[in-house]
Amino acid sequence: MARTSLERVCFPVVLLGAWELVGRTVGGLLFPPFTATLASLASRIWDGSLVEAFLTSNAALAIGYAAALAVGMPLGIMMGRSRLADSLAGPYLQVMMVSPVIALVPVVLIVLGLSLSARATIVFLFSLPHFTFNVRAGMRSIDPALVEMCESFGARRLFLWTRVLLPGAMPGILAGVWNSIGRAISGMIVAELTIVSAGLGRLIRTSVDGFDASALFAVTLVLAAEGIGLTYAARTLAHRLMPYRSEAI
Amino acid sequence: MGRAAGGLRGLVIRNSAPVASVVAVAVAWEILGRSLYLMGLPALSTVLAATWRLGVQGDLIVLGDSLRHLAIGVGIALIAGLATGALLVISKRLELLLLPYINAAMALPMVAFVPIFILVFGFRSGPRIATIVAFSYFVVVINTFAGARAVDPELLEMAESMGSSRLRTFISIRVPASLPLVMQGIALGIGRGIIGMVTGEYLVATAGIGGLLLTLAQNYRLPELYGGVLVVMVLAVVVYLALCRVEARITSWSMGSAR
Repeated sequence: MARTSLERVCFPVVLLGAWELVGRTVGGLLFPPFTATLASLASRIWDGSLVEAFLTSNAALAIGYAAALAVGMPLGIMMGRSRLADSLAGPYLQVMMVSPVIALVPVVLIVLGLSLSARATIVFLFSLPHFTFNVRAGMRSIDPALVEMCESFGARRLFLWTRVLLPGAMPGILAGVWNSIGRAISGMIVAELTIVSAGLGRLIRTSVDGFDASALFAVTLVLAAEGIGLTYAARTLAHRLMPYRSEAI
Repeated sequence: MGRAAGGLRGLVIRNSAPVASVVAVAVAWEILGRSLYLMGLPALSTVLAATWRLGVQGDLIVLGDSLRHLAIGVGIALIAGLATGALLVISKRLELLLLPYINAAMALPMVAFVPIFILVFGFRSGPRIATIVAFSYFVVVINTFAGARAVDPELLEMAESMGSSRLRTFISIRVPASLPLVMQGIALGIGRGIIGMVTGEYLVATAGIGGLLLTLAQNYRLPELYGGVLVVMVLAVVVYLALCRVEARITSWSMGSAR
């Protein structure tokens, strides 16, 4: 056991070492070593360009994702509670789940132009289906016998919602957050790379055009860290809020 | 008899709401499109006519190019993903080392890596295939691993105590028990591969069906653009439904043989 834990500690070091080695030997202009990427990252943070681009990008993420939560929450709850709502909205949700939402990007471009609202809309479209689906599943996972018992003991609606339905659906809702936040970030980048040159996407474009590989790797590193960081933050929050349901999460 | 009728009525009720909802949206789309064309929403009939034109004029031939890349990319991702999943099952050590990274990779915004693929693999098919592989590989690994984990240990123990050989146990117990999740992983992998396909066509080279969509958008040919989007979505849904059927076939067979 001690050996495997030592291996687990050493493995990332080995990976970074391999990255460094490949970058220094065969990488040339196109594949920079780890240290060069870090240096580029530090200089871009220092001169403020990366921070500014990060904030610009994340404005669209925040608006679009907040909208997805605001729409997906009631929609998922309704679909989970009412059979009629489920069969009315179900076909669209299913199509959105299995088809590439990215195909809609040019349509959003034409309708909304090169604007913040276009970027936020793409974030919204990318994250809404998976969030809604998980909220619906969370609602469905509630034991109907529990609801029935509440009703037969004359529980008020408010009580039913605050004590049974919402806590019961909470694991699904939080799973929805960490299943959709990575997609929201993807939507943010897709928007900035394909249509609206802004924020981190613009930084990526200028680095590719200028063959500045270490800058490109630095921006990608930031995006990867944001995706993993936000996903794991949502997960940790879920475990904190509901230690009693940790196996369900 | 009564029960059958009730079942039939239930079936009609269950299916009538979705159908009504789809029809209502189609009608609303047609009416809105006819009255508000300037807002960027052509009527449904215009879109369908434009889709027909796209097909007749041969614009949709680019789908062949898209699907060829998809087949290569998904093929690589499936083979590599199944192999990696199997390795993780065989070796506990590899599992401890690699699984945290593979789980973390699921949270990565893969789109962000496409510019790196362009830099490393050039501007042609290379980065497009790499994008498809990156999108679909990890979900196949995770589902293969989870599938192999889903085997009932009691069944394995029983087989062992009855003197079944390892190969025999593998074929008769492990494979059938893991098939549902593995098949699901393959379906998810292909679905993600389609997303990767369009992503690559947008970001790497204006080629394939994604390139057609971008060109239509740049020329402001809205009805054709909506038609192209419909084609992509229908393609994804059809592929998904076909995979569901295959999955149902295979797993029902495997359940039978496991019993």
